[in-house]
Amino acid sequence: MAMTLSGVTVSSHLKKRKELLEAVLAFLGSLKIEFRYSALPLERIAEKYAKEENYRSLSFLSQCLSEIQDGADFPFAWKRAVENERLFSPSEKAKLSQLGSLLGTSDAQQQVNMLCIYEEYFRTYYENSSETYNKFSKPAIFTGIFMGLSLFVLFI
Amino acid sequence: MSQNENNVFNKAVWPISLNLKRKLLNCDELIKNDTYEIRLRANRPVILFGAKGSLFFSSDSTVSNTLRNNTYICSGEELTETFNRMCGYSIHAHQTSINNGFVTMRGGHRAGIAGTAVLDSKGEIINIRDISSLNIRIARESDGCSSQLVKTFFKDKARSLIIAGPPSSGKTTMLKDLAKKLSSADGCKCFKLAIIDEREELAAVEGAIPNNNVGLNCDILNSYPKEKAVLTAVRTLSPEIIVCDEIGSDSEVNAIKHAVNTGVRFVVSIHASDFDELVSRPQVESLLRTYSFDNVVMLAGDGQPCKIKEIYEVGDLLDEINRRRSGIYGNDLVGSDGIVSS
Repeated sequence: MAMTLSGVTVSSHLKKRKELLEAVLAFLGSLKIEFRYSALPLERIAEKYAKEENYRSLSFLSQCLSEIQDGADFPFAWKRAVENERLFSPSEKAKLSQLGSLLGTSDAQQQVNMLCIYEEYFRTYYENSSETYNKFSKPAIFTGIFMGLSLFVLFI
Repeated sequence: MSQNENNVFNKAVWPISLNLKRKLLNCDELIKNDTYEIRLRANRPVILFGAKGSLFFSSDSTVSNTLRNNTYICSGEELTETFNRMCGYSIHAHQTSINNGFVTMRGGHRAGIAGTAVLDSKGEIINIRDISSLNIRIARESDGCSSQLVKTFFKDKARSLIIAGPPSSGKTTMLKDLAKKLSSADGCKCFKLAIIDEREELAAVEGAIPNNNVGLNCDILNSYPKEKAVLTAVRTLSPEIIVCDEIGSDSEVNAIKHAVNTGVRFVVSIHASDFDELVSRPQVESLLRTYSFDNVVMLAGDGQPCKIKEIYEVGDLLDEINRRRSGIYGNDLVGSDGIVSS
């Protein structure tokens, strides 16, 4: 039973990571639109997207927002929130922290150009996670079930 | 008043970098009360400007007329951090105002910016880099400062008024108070107002909510260029009075000239250090020649914010302009201090 559960957990982790990176990609796209057309300050962008249903998987946005509201400066609040998101890999965390230190530091056009670059990074991360999910999700469940059954049979 | 004023000071210093902010917050209440501007310059002393002129700020949170060993020197890093905090780490959201040399902070406090201009091929400023100075102007509320004007000019009907004065004479503060009273039936009927707040100083809108109390029956056109806002207000909002700060360019004057034909009234402020400057500014003359303005209120300045120095009749000012144009001087209408006697 435990083996089956661990297989399901691995599969679910891979799925959540894939969904998270998909949401990050969508968020970066939305950020470009916000920079280009609404010129909202970062605090209000974080507030807007932290509340949106489509971006619920980006829980770090809520944490970032609450730190800003407690008086933290945006780059520090963003970095801390990203660091606390367990589903990101170390390289993804590093890239997102870097992005946080650059967000809002230049005019809208420069911000959009920069976001295009980060979109490319995260597209690659997303594709990798998607591939990993497709490759290992079902096998992880089956392996779990198989191992569980094998142990069950062995014990009997 | 003092407690309220100091709250305003405390809020105005909020974006300043942590170390300097702590020292400013520790200032004596009197210093906080008397300060109109906080001047930060890279690697130079912090200066507080107020009723007693420019004073050097020291590390022990005191001020002095002369440079001392412990005078607080603002580092380049502190200046950059302060600038970023003023913008809420969102330079993209303030780019237009930065290019125009200022950032408006929460509460309507305005910071003037000096640095190195980055120009495009057409010579337009596209950015300011290497910020070297920030001048934080503390936006004060002076409740009731416009009572006399409301009582004199707006008791029963809407009129057009120009408020003139030197820098730091309280033009914006007077406008804010006037807007609040006119749109809240405070001493007059309840007028429909449109407030044109290009620099976000009058209403200090955040989100869609004004931080400053500008009354109940008013629409706020936030960050609009003045000339476009005037036309938009007239076309779509049908105000009885339009309130507008710091009229300066010909295009703004032209928009007002166009709008007065629709019957809307204006309360505007304009920069003029003294009577001579007032009557010699072509924009003032253009506004007066619309014949829709009734009076010009001149503020005193000289460390007495919102103090009315003189109220002029438009007809008298136009007479004086005509006299000066035709080369007739020494008329008894204008005294040696530039004040028109009636």
